[in-house]
Amino acid sequence: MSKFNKKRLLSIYKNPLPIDLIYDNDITFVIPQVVAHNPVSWIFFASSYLKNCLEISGQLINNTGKVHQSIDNSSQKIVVKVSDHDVFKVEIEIGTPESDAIKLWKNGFFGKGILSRSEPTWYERTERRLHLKDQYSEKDLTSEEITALRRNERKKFKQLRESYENQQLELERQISAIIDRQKIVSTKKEMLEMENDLKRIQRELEDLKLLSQQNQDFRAFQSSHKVKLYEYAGPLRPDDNALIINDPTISDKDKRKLMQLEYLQLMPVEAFFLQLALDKVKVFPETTGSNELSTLELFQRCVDSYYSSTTPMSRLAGNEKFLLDYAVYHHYRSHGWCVRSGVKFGVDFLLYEKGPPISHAQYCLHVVENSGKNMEDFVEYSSLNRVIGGVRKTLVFVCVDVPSVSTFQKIMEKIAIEKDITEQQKLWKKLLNQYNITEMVYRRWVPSRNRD
Amino acid sequence: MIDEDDLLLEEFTQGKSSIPSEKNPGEEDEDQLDDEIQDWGSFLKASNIQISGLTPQSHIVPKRGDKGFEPTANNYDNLLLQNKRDIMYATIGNSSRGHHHKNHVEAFWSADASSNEGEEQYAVVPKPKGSAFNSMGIPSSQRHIFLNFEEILYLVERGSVDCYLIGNTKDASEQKALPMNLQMCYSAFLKSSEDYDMFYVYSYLKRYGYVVRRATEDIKRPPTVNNKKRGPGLSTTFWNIMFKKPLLTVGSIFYKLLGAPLLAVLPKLRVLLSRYSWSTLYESLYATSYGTVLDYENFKAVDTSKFKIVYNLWKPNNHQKANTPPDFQVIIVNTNLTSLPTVDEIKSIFKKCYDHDRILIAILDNGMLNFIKPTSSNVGGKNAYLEGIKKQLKRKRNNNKSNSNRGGRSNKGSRGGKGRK
Amino acid sequence: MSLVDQVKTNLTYYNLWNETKVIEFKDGSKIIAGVPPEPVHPIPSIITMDPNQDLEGNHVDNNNNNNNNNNNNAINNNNEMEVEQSSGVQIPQSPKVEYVYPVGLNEKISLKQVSQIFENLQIALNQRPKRITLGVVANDGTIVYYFVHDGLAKPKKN
Repeated sequence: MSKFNKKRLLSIYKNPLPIDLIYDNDITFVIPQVVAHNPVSWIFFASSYLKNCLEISGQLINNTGKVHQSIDNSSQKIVVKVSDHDVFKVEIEIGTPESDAIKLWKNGFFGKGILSRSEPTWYERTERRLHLKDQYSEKDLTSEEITALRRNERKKFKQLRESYENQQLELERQISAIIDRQKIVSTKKEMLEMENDLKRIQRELEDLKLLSQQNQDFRAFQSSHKVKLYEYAGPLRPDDNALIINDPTISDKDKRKLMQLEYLQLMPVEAFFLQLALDKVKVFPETTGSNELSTLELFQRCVDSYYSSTTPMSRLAGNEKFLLDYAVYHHYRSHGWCVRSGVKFGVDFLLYEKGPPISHAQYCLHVVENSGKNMEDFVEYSSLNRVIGGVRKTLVFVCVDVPSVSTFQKIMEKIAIEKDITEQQKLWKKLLNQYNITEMVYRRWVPSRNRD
Repeated sequence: MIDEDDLLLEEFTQGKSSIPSEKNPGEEDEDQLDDEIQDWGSFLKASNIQISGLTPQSHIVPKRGDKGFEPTANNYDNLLLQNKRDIMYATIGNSSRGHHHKNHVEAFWSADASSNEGEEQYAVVPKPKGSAFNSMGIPSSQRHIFLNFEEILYLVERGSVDCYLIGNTKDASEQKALPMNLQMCYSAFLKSSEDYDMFYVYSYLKRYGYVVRRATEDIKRPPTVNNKKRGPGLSTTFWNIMFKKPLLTVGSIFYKLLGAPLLAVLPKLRVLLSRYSWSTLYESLYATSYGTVLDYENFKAVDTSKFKIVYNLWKPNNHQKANTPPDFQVIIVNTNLTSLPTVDEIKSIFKKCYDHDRILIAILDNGMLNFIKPTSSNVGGKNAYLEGIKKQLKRKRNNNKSNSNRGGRSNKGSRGGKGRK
Repeated sequence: MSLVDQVKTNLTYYNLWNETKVIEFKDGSKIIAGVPPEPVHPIPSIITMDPNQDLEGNHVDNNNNNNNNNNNNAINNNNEMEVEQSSGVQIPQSPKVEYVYPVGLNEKISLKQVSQIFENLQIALNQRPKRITLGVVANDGTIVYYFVHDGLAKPKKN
C-alpha cells in the first residue's frame, strides 16, 4: 500500500468511534514540552495550559445550546432492528453516501455487510457483475473483487506450474528407466552411452528446476500476467433476475434497477456497546409496532442470543458468554482499539490498531473465564497458535475474572429498578468494573534459536 | 482497499505465505524447527568412496519446503533415497568406530539401593574423565562423581559411559559387576512415566548444548530487581499522575482537574464534557478493570504443586562461573496428566520464581516436545488510538525540526521518533 | 432470517452458487443443495469407513444394484438428475452439487448428527454423497464453510 493511499485512508477513517465531537481537534493543541528540572518550561507550559483551558470553557459555553440539542436529539440515533433470530440489522440505503450503516462502518468499523467480507459493498459489486453499471475505474474495485482477480491469477499460475511439474516427472521417469537398464546391460560401449544419456537428462532436469523455480514466485507471476474480471456477459442467472426491478416510469436506459439485499449486521456486543456506552443507537424488534428496547431489555436479548432458550434475569450468574465477551469488547473499544469478530481465525476477537482497510490486525483475543477451572488443552492451544502464527498475529489469552453471583445479582436488581438514566449508567459502569481482565501470551520457545 | 487479513489467511491456507515477517528472536516457522539433516555426502567426498548410480551433482539434499505433494508414479524418488542410504552406509561402514581406551569411563549402579523408598539413587563414576563432567553430576570428596538417573542414562545412550550393575553397595569392585545394555539401563533407571518425561526433556536440551541441572532449591530473587521498581520519589508520582497518564493532552488534564468538580454541580455537563475530545470521551468510557500477569506482587498465590520447576538451564556459553543464575527454568507438563497453567497459576509461579522472564514450560504431548514461554502483554493497558495520535504528533514535530535543519538528518530523526517505548 | 435463509442468501449472492434449494428432511432438519460457480476442491478419493461401500463410495450391496447403476450412469454422463422426495421437493443431484448444512457458531455438532445428515441424504438421493459442507454462522453475519468428508480424505494440493 502506497504512502499516499494510506494517508487518504486515514483521512476517510479519521474517527475511531461514531461520535460527533464538540470540538473535534485534539491534535491542534501542541503543548510545549515540559522538562521537570527546567522551571522556565514550567511557566511556559502553565501559560499555554491556562490559555487552552479558557478556550475550552469558552467553547463549551458558546456551544452549550447547540451541542446539547444535537446530543439529545434522538433523531440522530441510528435505528437497529433485531430479528427473531437475534440478528441485529442496520439498513443500507442505496445512493446515500452517508447512510447510517456507512456511518457506523466509517467511524470505527462497526458491523459487517452480510454479503461482503466486511465493508458493505455488495450493491456496487453486483451492479458491476450484472453489467448494470459498466463504467468504473480500477480504483473503485472492492476488496472482494481484488481477491477474485487474485484467485483467477492464482489459477493460471497453478496451471503453468503443473505443466512444469509434468515435464519434470517425465525426465525423472527417463532417469529411473536408464538406471534400471544399467543393471542388465554389460557391454562397455552401451554403459558409456547410458552414462552420457544420464548426464544429459540430469542437466536438463536441473535446468527445468531452475526455470520452474523462477516461476515459483506467485507475486512475480502476478505482476507479469493480468487477468480480467467480469468478462462473461451472457444471460443472467434466474437468482439474479429476481433482483432486478423494472421501473416503467423511467426512460429505457436506467429502467433496470438492482434491489438492495444487503444489510449491516452488528454483533450483540457491538449493538450493546453502541447503546450503553455511546448512546448512539436505538434498537427495535423487527416485528412491526414494537417499542424501542430499553438498555436492560437489550441486555437480556443479547445474553439470550448466545443460547437457544431464554434465561430469566434472576437466573443469570454473571459468567454468561455474552458478559465475558462484552467486558472484553468494552475494554478494548474503550482503549481505542478497533475490535472485530475473530471467527475466521478461530478466536473471539481481532484487534486492529486502526481498522481493516488500513492495517492488519495485530492481535487475536481468545476469551476465557478465569474460574480456577482448567485451561485450554495443549492441542487446542497449539492448533490455534499455529493458525494465528501463520498469519503473523499474536494470540492473546484474555482471562476474565467475574463477580460472584450475589454481587452480580445485586447490581442487576438495582439496575432494574433505577429509573434515572444517569444513575443507571453509573450502575452499569459499576457492574463492568467487577470484571477484571488479564492478558497472557504463551510464546513458542525453540532451543536451537536461543542458544546465545 | 484490500482486506489484508483475508489475503494473509488465504496465503497461509495455501501454504504460500511470503509476507515479510517481524519475528521475535527465537520464534521460527514450525517448518524450519528441526535439526539440519546430516549430509553424508560431504563425509563421503572426504573418504573417497565411490557409489554407483546417480552422479554426485544430484546429491544435494533438496531445500526445505520443496517437498513433493505425494509419491510420484516413477521410481526416481526411491532411487534418490536409496542413493542417500548407500552413501550413509558406505561412510559409516568404512570408518572405524568405538571408544578410545583413554577416554573409557565406567559407572556403577547398585541393584538393591532402590529399596530406600523415596530416596534418589545415583550412579557412581569412580574415575571421571572428560569435559562432560564439568557440568554434570555431584562430585564427592574422593573425586568420585554421582550421577542422577537422567545424567547416567544420557551418557550411556551417547556411548560415553559403560554402566555396570553391582549387587552390593559396599563392594564396588569390578569383578562382580554386570555390564548393562541400553535396555537394562532404561528399565533400571526410569521408574515412572514422570522419570521418562524428565529424561526426555533433559536429553533433548542437552543435545542442544545447554547445561541442564536439577532445580533443587529455590533460587533467591536478586534484591536489586525489586528495589529499582519500588519507591519513586513523591514528585515523580505526582508528575506521573498529572501528565504521563494516560496521555498528555489538554483535554484529559482538563477533564481530570475541572471535570470532576464541575460534574458534581452540573450533571448534564457530563455528556458535553465527555464529547469534548477523543481523550475525554475515552476517559468517560473506561469501566473494566485490567491487569497483566506481572501484577503478582499482591496476588494471593494458588496451589502450583502441579507445576514444579524441574530444571535450571544455562546457555552453552554461560556456565563458566559458579553461582551464575540460570538463564531459564523449566517446568514440565505432560498433556496426558495436566492442562496448561491458568493465569492464576502463572501469576503464582511468577511470584515464587527467580525471574518471571526465565520461566519455560516443556510440553510433552505423547512423545512430542514443545517449549512455551509464558509472557505478559500490555495490549489493553494503553489507549491505541491516543497512542497513535501521540506518535503522529511526535513524527510531525520531528519532521518540522529536521525540515528546519534543512532536512539533513531527517530520516534518522523520524526513525528515532518511532522507536518503542 | 433463520440460519438456513442466512446461509442460502450468502451462497446465492455472495458466493454466487447456482440453483440453491432448501431441502427439508423427515426429521425436520434442513440442508441446502446448490452448485458452486466452479467446482470447489475436487472431491478426493475417500477411504470410507462404511463396509457397504467400496473405495469410490459406491454401494456394493447387490439388492440395490440396479438402482445404483442408473445413478452412476447419470453421473457419468454429467446429466443433472432430480430425485423426488417425500415432501415433493426436487433434490438436484449431480457430481457438481454440494450440500450445505447450516449451523450456529454456538451450537455443538456431534459426529452422530453428522452421520445422521449423511444418512438422510443417502435415503433422499439413493446414494451417499462423499461429503457435506457445514455452513457455520457467526453472530456478526460471517459464515465460514467447512467440508466434512465421509471418511478419510486426501488433502488438497495447493
